[in-house]
Amino acid sequence: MKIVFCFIIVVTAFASYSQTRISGSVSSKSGEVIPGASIYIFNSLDGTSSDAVGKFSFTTEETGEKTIVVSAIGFVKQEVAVTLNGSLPSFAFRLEEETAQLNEVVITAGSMEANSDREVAVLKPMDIYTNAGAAGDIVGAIQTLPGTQRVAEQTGLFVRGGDASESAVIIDGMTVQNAFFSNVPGVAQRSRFTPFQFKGMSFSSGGYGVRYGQALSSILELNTMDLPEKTTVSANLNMAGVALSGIKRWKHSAGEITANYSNLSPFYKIANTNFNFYDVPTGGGASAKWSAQNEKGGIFKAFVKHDYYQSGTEIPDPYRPGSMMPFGLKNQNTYSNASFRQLVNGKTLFYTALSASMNEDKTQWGAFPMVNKDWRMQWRGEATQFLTESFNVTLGSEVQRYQYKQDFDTAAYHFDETQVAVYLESEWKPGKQWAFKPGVRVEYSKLLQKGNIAPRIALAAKTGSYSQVSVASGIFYQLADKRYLLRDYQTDFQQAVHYMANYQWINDSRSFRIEGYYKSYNQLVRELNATYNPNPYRVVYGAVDNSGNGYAQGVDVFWRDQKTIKNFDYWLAYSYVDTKRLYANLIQKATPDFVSNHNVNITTKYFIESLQMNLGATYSFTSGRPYYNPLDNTFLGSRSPSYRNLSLNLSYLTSIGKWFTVFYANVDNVLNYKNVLGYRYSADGQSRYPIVPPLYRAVFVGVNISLTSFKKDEL
Amino acid sequence: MKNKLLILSFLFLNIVAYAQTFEAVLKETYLKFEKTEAPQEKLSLVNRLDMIAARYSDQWSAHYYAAYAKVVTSYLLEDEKQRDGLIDQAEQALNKSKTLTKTNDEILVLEAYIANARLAVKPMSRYKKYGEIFDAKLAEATALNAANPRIYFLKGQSVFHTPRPFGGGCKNAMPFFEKAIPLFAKASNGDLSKPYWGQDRNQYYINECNE
Repeated sequence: MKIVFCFIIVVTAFASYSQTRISGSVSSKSGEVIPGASIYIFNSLDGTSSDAVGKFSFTTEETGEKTIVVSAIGFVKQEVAVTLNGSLPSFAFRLEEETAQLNEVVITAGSMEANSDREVAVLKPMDIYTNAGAAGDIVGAIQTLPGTQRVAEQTGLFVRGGDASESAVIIDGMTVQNAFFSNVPGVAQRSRFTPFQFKGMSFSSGGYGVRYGQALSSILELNTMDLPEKTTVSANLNMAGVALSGIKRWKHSAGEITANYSNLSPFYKIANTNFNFYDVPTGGGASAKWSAQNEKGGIFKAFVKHDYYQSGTEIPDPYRPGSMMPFGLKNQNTYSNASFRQLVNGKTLFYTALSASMNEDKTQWGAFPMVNKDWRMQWRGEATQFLTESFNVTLGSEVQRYQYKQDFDTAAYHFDETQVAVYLESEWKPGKQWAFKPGVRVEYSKLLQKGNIAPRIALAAKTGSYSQVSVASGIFYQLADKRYLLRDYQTDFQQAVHYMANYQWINDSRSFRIEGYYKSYNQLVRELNATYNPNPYRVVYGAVDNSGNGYAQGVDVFWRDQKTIKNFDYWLAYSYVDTKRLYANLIQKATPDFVSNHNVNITTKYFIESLQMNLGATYSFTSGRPYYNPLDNTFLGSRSPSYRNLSLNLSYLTSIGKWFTVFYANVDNVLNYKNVLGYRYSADGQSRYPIVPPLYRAVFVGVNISLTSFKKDEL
Repeated sequence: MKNKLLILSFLFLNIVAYAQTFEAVLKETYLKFEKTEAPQEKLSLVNRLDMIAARYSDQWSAHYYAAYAKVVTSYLLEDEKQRDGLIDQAEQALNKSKTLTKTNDEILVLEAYIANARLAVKPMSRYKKYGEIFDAKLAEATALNAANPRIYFLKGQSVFHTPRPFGGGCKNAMPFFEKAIPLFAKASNGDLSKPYWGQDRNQYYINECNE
């Protein structure tokens, strides 16, 4: 017993005798001091933290071979073996910065995504809603991105030198045949869908994957919300009408209905209109949606929508420049879409969708009645097999059938098309540093009695913690425009070949992108007339063949900064395009009249926290577009003045009782620029008439209120 | 025989001593952590809790409190990357804790807290994803033990910091804080194996709202 006591005393004495002081400093590899770093002897309770200048000091009674652990947030932990024997020299620990969680490489050539599921994205869906240039329209927001351009008097999405018919709008994998409100000559129309329906969107300005075809230029892919979060009722009242909606959420399913009535009288009353809207647009619509989730996470969605509206506008007569013409329109549109997706065993993702739509335009061109009707059905089925975490294969097929009918005065035209496509694509990401995405799409057209094979490939590689490069190439086919098909012209597929390369850098709420591209067009449909008619609504009489061709090349630049100034977010988009084509009714290879070479968009947003107010401004500049001047020796050689627009928006968030309320206001063309979009000449070439947009400055105000059910069971 | 007994009792005493030091050290550090306010001081106590968790790595509560302290401290830091880094560490610590104990309401509550901390770093771009996780974790915790006051405290805190137009603010948060009061009162404070944090801050918010 005595021996034991002795032993204890000796040990204690020895221990107190051999106290070791551990001191020194902690800094980063680049020499900056690290305050608040942790320094301790592993498996003991002896340790401390570095002070404001990175210095530390503590004593330990541990002895022998031990490990000192040094760690700090954002740095790689360091372990140092030491022998504790009473005295140690001072330490100077230098920690290596932890490389920011290396984000997986993503194929970005040609496409910009706004996705709420992914943290690192150039854009978020929210950015689209709150964009001053958008005025609440998805396509308006897309037009502030590089690669696009504004064509103020024409409807549709114009991308990198392509015309509106060369861009497709896709919802949940299904092509939307009438994505925009029906065309009124000279008046650009909005898209039919509100941004709030979508959880994500991907805009491809070229080089898109094999899931889609029939678009020579671009794809705008929209994905609808899955189950809405909560039971909500909301109402929207603005200068264009009133809309009501209700969502009921059950545990695993949800139902949603909306109804709207629109009447643009209040809007046109105070707007500065250049055209006489003798029958202001009025209309109404309703929609219903059902979504459900099964036990295994599969999601089913079904959506149906019907709209009616009518309008009467005094428009510049496209057939007789200089004179006006009444244009009446009555439109009926039905759109439906159902889809189901299910992941099985975490390995295979099945997706299938079905859509059907109908559109009818009863128009009055001056004295002539015209009726356009079209129908569409589409089915898609695909399976993606995730063979490993970094390798997957998708096999899919789609069938689309559509029909167009036109009755003009006493003449009647129509065509029917059924298309079948099969596609195979695989994605391989070795080490998450590289990505390869080859694919092939095979299409068959019943109308043409012909098929095509379109191989495409995209690659990406990480070049640093925050940057990557990506390239893409592929072949794209599209049928001739409906104006030719309606007249029974025998045509072949038109073809475009895309090559593009981009560099992207995203770090901490700042992003930069630059992309260069070259596209060649082959087999474009061409009208073999000897003379040029600049009327976009001309009737095609002469012969037509596929002898057209052309090219487009350019650079798109995008910069966004959400960080430098708190609550201030801005982005800058610049696009340069150089393109020439011999197609449609052009008699020589030339830059088409909808193309402007330089496009600049600056979008800014500022959130004033104390007032709960969002302010936004968008400035757009579009260089002059070619117009046809019969006196000019160069075909389409004259250029219109450049187009400028500054729009502002403001939204104020508040609550009135339990209602979440947003007041919003948008002023388009604040500075009232008198933009001239081009000129038309009289038949004798002696008189020149400017093409002007339907409105200069326009003000739009509204209020949105919503009530979300309060869950009583939470309390 | 005598010797064996002696050794056994010595071993037993040793285990008791080990447990006592662990609990004492953890408690002392935890109480200091709750008392300090300056972010830098809190960080050094976070470091100390980390050290304790490394030393007593078989104790679920060691990792649990390291995770807890990290989450709480993350709200006090300025730099977004630092905040995310600390929350990452909190998540790792909680995951270790989860391997050492059965899933219980306290673990779920802390998981909800972590989701809320993530949200607080970038509310505009994260509210959707982390708001959903936060609600789901609290709902799970409620299903296991509806009498856990921290569920209502966290919910109240989240509502308190939500902009008023989105259903936030004092008026909407108060019912949650008030619901938590009697539940906090029922719990016996002092035993770290039954977490009891939150009462002071619950009261702090009530005072803020009553001003």
